[in-house]
Amino acid sequence: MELPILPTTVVGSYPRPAWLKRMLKLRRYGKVDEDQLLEALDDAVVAAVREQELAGIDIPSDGEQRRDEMVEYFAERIGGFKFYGPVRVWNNNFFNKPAVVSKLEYKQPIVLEEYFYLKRISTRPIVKVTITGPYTIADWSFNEYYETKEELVRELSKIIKAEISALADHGAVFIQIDEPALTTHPNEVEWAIELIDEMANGVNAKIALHVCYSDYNLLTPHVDRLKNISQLVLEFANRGFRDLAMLRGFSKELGFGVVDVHSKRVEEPEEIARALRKAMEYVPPDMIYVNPDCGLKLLPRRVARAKLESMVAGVSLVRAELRARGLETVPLRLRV
Amino acid sequence: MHSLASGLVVETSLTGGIPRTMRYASLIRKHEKGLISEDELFEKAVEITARTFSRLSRDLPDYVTDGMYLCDDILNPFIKDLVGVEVGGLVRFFENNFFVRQPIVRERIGLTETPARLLRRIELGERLRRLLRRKLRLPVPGPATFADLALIEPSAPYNSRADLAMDYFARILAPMLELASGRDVILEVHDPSLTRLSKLDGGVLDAYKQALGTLSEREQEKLHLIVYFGSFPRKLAAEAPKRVTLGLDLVESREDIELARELRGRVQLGIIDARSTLMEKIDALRRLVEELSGPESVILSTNTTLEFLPESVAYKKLRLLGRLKRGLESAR
Repeated sequence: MELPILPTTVVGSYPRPAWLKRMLKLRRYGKVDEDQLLEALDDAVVAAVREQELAGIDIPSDGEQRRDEMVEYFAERIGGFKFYGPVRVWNNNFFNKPAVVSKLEYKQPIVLEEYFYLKRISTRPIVKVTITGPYTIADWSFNEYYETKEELVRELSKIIKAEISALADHGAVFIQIDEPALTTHPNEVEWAIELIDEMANGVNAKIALHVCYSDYNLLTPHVDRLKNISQLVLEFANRGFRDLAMLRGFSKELGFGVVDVHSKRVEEPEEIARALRKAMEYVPPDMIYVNPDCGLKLLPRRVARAKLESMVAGVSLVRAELRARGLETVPLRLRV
Repeated sequence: MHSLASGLVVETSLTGGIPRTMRYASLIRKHEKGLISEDELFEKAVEITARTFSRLSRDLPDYVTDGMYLCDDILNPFIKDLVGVEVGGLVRFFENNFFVRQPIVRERIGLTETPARLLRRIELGERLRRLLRRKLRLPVPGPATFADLALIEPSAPYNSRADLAMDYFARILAPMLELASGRDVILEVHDPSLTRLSKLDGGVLDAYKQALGTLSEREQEKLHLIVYFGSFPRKLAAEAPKRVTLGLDLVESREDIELARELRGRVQLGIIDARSTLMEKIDALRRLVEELSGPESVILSTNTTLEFLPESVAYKKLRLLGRLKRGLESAR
């Protein structure tokens, strides 16, 4: 399966349409029934995917339209969690932080239906499915049950492995494990990496690992141990493209974050192109995918779309340069 | 040897902020959309914090803070009251899923002539103090933490984070203390980066101790130096001016439990875990306090701000503090 060189994709979430937010509120007040909400969610996915495709994205996601929050969504569907209420993460943004209160239980596939729907409505041959990783679910939860955090992550990784295996068995070729918390506790990175890699072992799909707003110096020494992960999706725009030198000798594909999702300023295509040229000093172009730093959901929808359009325009500038060097496509690699 | 029976003074305190209610979060969003004014938002903050604290009734701590209701985090909008510093991107606050605004230091730092945000916070706190009849602490970032989390631009006149921390003492902390003492406010200086001093340059601990010492005695009394997420540097604890109240994290650091047994004077004991929903056993907490032989006076508190907890759990923990204090007093 071939993709254009520097394939463009998203990290996952996309702003929900205002009407969906209203529907969710109406549902909470019991003013619309479950079927009406499900229909609205389906429509929102169509809108999110279509907007990505119109912006020129090669590999869209479903915009995570059905998910209120990346940990909460999974915790609500795995047995053993309880919710005490929201906690703040930054500024005025909250999430419903779960607590593990009993043995965890995988009840049924969590995002398989999401994948089927995305695959059905997208015009693109490859779509991306995102799943919150076991370490982040554990780190962003209160642990009242397991003796150690490692034990909790091990249990969660078994559950997520079952989930990604189900996806791969049903045809998903590109799955991204989101682990923004991975480097939060430096002394836990080593065993967390081991558990994540083991989770991806034997899964017949391309598995990417997304880590953001983190100290990448804690991650890079472990990259070679990720035998079953083909791509690392990293945030660079927010840090002003500092730290790119750490990519020297990078052994995986890079999902290069070129759009700052915490700023409403729309980057110019030339800025994107400049960042790409800089990244290519360290990573060969056929090993780079291009994406925003992180999910776009907190941006106004028109800004998110403009950022994607700008990103694609910036990529086009560099693609033209690469075409002159005879580089036009890359294969979809399941393992690197 | 001091014991409860021989007159250990036991007080309780809120440390840092209280969880922002969803109601207030929605008012902030309204304010951002221009639907309510700054003053209306402020009045709501007073109303909500006052109601929240009042609900604690007899468990209300002896020291309250402004709840940090006007703050997004310990650094923002605090940074906006400084010169030479701009508000940067988000950075992780230690090992938490909580992000704060990074100070971008471009020039020599200082406190603005009229630190409007700080004064507004003091105004809120003073209204709470009058209403609740409690002592007031104002949480602010400490020198080591500010320097640790800052991004120092080449244009700034600082060769190291230690340089920046020392200048923070002189040009930000000292004038803030002056401001606070005129208003009967205690500065609750949050300096968790003291637990990871290796990231700062060598010799900073001695300089830190010296800088604390240069504050006048009257001002030192208005300073509670709170350290958490690790061990309070033992050398600093031993040699810090006696009028400064030191806050230890007994949840995260076994060394701090030992340290608490050795220190004299007044010590804050962070004995309740503000990052876990599990409720502590009151008997275990009581034993821990009863075994202390050093301090003449203790302030019982959570180890860190309550903002890491859901609202319902945070209040249970505050109530636990109140029950603990009453239990200790009745055991005399």
